[in-house]
Amino acid sequence: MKSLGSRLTVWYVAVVMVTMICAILLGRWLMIKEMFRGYDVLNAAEFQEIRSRVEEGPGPIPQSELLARVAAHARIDAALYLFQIRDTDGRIIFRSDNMGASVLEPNPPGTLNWTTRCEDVGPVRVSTFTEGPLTVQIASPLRNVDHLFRSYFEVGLIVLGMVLVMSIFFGMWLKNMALAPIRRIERTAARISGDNLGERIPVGAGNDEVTDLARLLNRMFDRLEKSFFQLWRFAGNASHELKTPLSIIRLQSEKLLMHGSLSGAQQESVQQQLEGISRLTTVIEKLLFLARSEVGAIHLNLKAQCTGALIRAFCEDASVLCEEVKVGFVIEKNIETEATFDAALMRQVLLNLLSNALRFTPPDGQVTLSSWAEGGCWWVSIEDTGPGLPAAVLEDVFEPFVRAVAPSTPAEEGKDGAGLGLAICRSIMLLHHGSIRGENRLPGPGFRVILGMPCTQTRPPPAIPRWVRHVPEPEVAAP
Amino acid sequence: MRILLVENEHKVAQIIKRSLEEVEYPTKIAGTCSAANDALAGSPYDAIILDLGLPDGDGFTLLKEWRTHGFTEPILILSARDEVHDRVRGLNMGADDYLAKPFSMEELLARVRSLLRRHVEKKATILEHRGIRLDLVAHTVTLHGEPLDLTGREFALIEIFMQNQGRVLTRSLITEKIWDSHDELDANLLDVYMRRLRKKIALPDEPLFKTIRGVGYQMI
Repeated sequence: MKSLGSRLTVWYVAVVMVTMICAILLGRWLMIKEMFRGYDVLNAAEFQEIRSRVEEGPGPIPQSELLARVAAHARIDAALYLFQIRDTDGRIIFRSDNMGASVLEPNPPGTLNWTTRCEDVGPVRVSTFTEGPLTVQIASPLRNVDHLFRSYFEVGLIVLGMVLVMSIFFGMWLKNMALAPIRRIERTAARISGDNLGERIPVGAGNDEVTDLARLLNRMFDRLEKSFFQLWRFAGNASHELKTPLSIIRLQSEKLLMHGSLSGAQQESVQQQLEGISRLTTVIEKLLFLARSEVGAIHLNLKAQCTGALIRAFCEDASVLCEEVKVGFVIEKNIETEATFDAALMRQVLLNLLSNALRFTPPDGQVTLSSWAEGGCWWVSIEDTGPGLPAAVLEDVFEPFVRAVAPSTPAEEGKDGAGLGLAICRSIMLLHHGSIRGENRLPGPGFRVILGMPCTQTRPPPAIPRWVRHVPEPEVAAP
Repeated sequence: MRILLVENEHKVAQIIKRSLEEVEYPTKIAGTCSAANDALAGSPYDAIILDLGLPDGDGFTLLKEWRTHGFTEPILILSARDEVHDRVRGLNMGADDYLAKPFSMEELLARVRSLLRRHVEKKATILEHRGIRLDLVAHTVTLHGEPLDLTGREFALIEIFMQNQGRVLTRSLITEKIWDSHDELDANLLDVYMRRLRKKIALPDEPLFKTIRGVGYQMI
């Protein structure tokens, strides 16, 4: 069961039902006990009555006369009692007529009153008395008791059914009452995001568990807000504190270069200095971008737009870049759909992936781009014919500072932005509620990156379809 | 042509002032919001360079105040905040251009020139330079009367150079105009396009474009 509310209701109903069943059973047990005690008293009273009747008249009475008197009494009370008398040897010397062919068993040792079944009569409550050498057993049939208990159970079942319905109703009411403050907390907490971290959960007047929880959460939001603020401030300050001195260095270097009378070697050093500053600026910008996107401080210029236009504009640049390094560029398919995205950022993602692909693709290799809609999502794949990636790197190639291979030349070191390009691609895709995945092409060799984000009409969480692993080799070449 | 420079970093301000004055733009420095307001109230300026981080306030607030009070001077925002969001915000509030730190002096000068020009010149529809004729309306390019086959991007690129003949254009200025981005990958893309342009527009004597290393390109 998913929700705590339905679990609470079920528990409540179960507890009420178990309690009710226990109460009914206990009631039955107490009733039986009380009833048996009543029968025992009645049996004893009957014995006293027989005794007084038998002992009427002076002197000892012969056994035959005694039994005749008992028989006479038994006939009078035949509707209510069964009588049986045994002598000292345990032989039955008298049975009342209403017993038919059945016999009352002797009492179990240690008990004078017990319940048993009599063949012709049914269940009976038997009491045993001793009078001189005789053992007198008086039994009360329990026919009416059986009937009573059947009615008791029928009523019990009806009551149970009613209690079940009522407890479900009350359980749900109780659940709503109990969970209402939690739902309020949930609604507020869901509203609180990077944009309105100042909002707090309203804390009720009381001092119960829920208000404690609300206070606890509010304290947590305080801490979160503080860390967010610190990160914001860090991003802002880092930007200012790093870039202002960089500006000064850059401007001074440029001045040296433009107006100074530097020798060739000195000019070369200053040039390198300027290039270093450019690289540093790029890395700072990328790191700050990652830091800001971590705290949700990137403002996306989101627009619902056709994906085809972005892909076409990108492909114009992509084919030029590929042609430059003599790598073929193929658009396998560009099936248009509509998605909501920041076109400038998505272009950065595509450009990053392409430049990554080109770094690994040998001349005369090929880069293939596909864009299509599937399962309510827009997918783009970019694949190359390079060597692919070792399985160990594949897992965390989108982590910051992870390079697919060690940069072979210092020039290359600057170009890949310190291994931040793919990390930025991932953070941009996450900002769009999208996904990014890299895998080796099958049949290889080659590396493929697949991007996915929900189309505008439907926004289910995107999952990369399984069949994407086995995209057939491109057949149509239409740059 | 007088320029008001609102910048609280003394060193940066001094370097900018010196460079602007070298190209004959007298410059006044204001280090705070109040100093900037005083300066602007005192005498007219032809352009304002505004840093966003000021000790007694935010550059955005200052910009908003000026625009609501009817100051129409062209304004170039200079800021360490280099986010599209800030850029868009600044431009929406009435700034004319936005330059992120660290910037190149050449770029700042190019942008200031373009700001000043925007307010005096009317855009020509036909641009000519060393036998190249660019018709912005018909979207055609000819070299000594022979039509040149340029792609959309190549046309946009040559147009920027023709508009700024003889000036050094930084990579980020160009990529910002063409791709609305100044990512380093776009700078590489620009280099590729420049190579293609050079191949397509081969002039017999002196090459058309000069590469200024670490800065950008210049059409000569």
